[in-house]
Amino acid sequence: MTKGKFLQPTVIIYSLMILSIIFLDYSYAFAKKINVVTTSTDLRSITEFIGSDRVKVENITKGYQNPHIVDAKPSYILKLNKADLFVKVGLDLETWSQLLEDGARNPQIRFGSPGYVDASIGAELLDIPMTKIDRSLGDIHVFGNPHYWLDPLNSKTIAQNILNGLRRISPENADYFKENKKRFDNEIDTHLVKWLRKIKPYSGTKVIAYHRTWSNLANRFRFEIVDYVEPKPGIPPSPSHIANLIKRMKMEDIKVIIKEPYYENKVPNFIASKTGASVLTLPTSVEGIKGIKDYFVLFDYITDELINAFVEQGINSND
Amino acid sequence: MRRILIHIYCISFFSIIPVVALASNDTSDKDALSRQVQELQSMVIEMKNDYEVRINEMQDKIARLEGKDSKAVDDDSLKKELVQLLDEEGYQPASPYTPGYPSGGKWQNLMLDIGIIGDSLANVTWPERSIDEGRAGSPFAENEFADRISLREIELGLQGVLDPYARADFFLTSEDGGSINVEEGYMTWLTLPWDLQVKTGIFRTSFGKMNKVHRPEINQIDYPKPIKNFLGSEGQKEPGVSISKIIPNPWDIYSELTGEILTPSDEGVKGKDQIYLAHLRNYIDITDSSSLEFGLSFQTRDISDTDDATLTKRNFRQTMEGIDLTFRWDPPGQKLYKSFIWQTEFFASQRESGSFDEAGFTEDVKDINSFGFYTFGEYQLTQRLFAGARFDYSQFPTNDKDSEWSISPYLTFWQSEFTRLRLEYTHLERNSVTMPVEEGDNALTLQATFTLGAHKPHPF
Repeated sequence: MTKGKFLQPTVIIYSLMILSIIFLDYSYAFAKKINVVTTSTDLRSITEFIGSDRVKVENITKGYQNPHIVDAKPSYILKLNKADLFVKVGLDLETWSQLLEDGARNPQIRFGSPGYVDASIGAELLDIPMTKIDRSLGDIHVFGNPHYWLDPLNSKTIAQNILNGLRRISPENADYFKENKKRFDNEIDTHLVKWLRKIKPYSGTKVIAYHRTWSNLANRFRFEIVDYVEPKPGIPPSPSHIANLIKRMKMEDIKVIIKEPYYENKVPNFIASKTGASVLTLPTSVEGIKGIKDYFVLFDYITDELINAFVEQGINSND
Repeated sequence: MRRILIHIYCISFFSIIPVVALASNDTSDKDALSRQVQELQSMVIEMKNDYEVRINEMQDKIARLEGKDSKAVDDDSLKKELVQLLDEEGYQPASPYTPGYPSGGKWQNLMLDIGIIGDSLANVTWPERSIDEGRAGSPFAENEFADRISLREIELGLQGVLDPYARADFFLTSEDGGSINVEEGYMTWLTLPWDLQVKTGIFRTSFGKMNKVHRPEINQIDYPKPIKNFLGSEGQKEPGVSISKIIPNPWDIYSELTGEILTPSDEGVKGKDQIYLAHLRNYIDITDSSSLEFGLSFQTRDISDTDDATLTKRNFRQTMEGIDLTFRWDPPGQKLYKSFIWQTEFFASQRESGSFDEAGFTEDVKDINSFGFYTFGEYQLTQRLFAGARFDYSQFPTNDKDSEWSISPYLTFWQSEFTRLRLEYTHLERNSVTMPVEEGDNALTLQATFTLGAHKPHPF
């Protein structure tokens, strides 16, 4: 290629670049992204869907971490110090977050401020205590089961709360976020039909769970949690409780134990060895297990694993 | 649309042919005719392209409209199927959450968070001796809870939000069933400009790391010797004002600078004898599981002394420095029920001392330079069981000739988040050139600590 021929396209490309810089609107490309901090990976996944390329989202707890017990590290305070929006699961799950909110010195994200989002407002809750409660009942949650995000239908309410928060702090992008929320709702409906169809044949299957994490999941996907490895929430099992559980599982032919990644395997494995049941470790959150990259994949994985366990145990489908 | 194109082609063809035929008879007009033909050709091509673009646009529009219709149909059928699937039996209707209050009513949320901590000890020491026998004039602290069962401390915590800008925290204590004291009582402005926070009242000072933690909540049964000797038998708490700020830095390290002005609660302290204190706290996450905290502390004050005979007053300066280091390893969920903490603090003091002569002049003014440190490691063995050991070494701010050291292995069992049992053995040795000391002390202590009511998580 001669020098002239080589220069010609170069000149054209540079000219186009200069023209594009002059005429094109780069305001979006260089616009400051909205800095969002969420307490969980699930909330991060939903916020990323609604905010898309106009938000930068960081989470505090890991997907494989017990969300009840989290050290209020100063590095989290630093994240909240710079946040425009703070999204919490709410209820009384994140008692540890009060220290972070107090330490952050950020009036924008404090309770009652525009940048504060309680994702639980309007969510459908289960296990709401209706009688006198005290700590003899274990780690009881006074407002109801805080693992409500495990009902995919509740994610629409969560997304609405996030949308409201994003609109408050960035009204100029309100239409954009609203459009994304519409897409999110459609995606949830489409996926939910798929998940419900898949698991429908196993409706009413009885399982044992480790902790009271799965109420919303079981309720939505119609399997029945008949007992728990923990005698009361947060209380480790006693030998007599384990013995009774084994007896019950044998009598009622219960063949699946589901547990969270952050609880021990020893007791569930022991129970399984005595009853022939399968122990199924299910992620409670996005990134709870490697490969669970977003909220939709979380339920793809959970429904697939449940069905695999039911099939493996020879549990007959209702079809 | 294609028909229109065909018509254009035909019109163009029939209009060009006669022109071409006539032109053939006249060679002189041949060039002009050829130009005209070319122009007409290019016109036709241009028209064709234009119409093709329009046709494509219209076809796209039709396709989109058709697609929309089918999508709308899909959406409807999807919704119908979803409703059908959701309506099937077995679903328990849940209650939508509105921010409200459990059975106690709304007034509860306007109330304070109230919590009570009880801290009881059962202690045996050997060789046997009375609680403070032979300690008069000694720099060594007595073991006031030795050889007895006691409710060492009750702590009542009252905490809450004052208004959108500030909160208040009160901790009242009673030792061994005695009078009620204010352990801490302060308000904090949380969101001042320039990332500042201000605290005022009585509070545990920011000198070092462990001094800020209340005694029932520390990792061992009692404060380390250097804290007791340099800061006070129960650590340092004074009335004052504290200002802190997060220092921005390019490395995204949490760095907080605290400055405090405190009025010492020593007897006879005058207005000008304030404590000036500074603390720099730096924290970095090494990995998701491990972190390192590094702090520097400094405080200076005048301690006034008055000669009883001449009533001459003289101020003696005391300056203290501290370094604290904390390493934590606590994998969040991957390695179940395993964690480790290692914490060390160094203390140094320079204190002016002297005496008065008969005329009331100070003489023999000299500096007492003293030093102390503690270090401990604690490992989580199981979900509820922790094992650790602490080593203390300390001189005294008023006496750099005497020293003491101790070693304390311990086991901690958490019955639940609210109830803790601890068994600790301590061997203590004292070295003194100023007075005879007994052989080493041994103590075995069982501690039960319990929390009732609201329990605010501990600062990290």
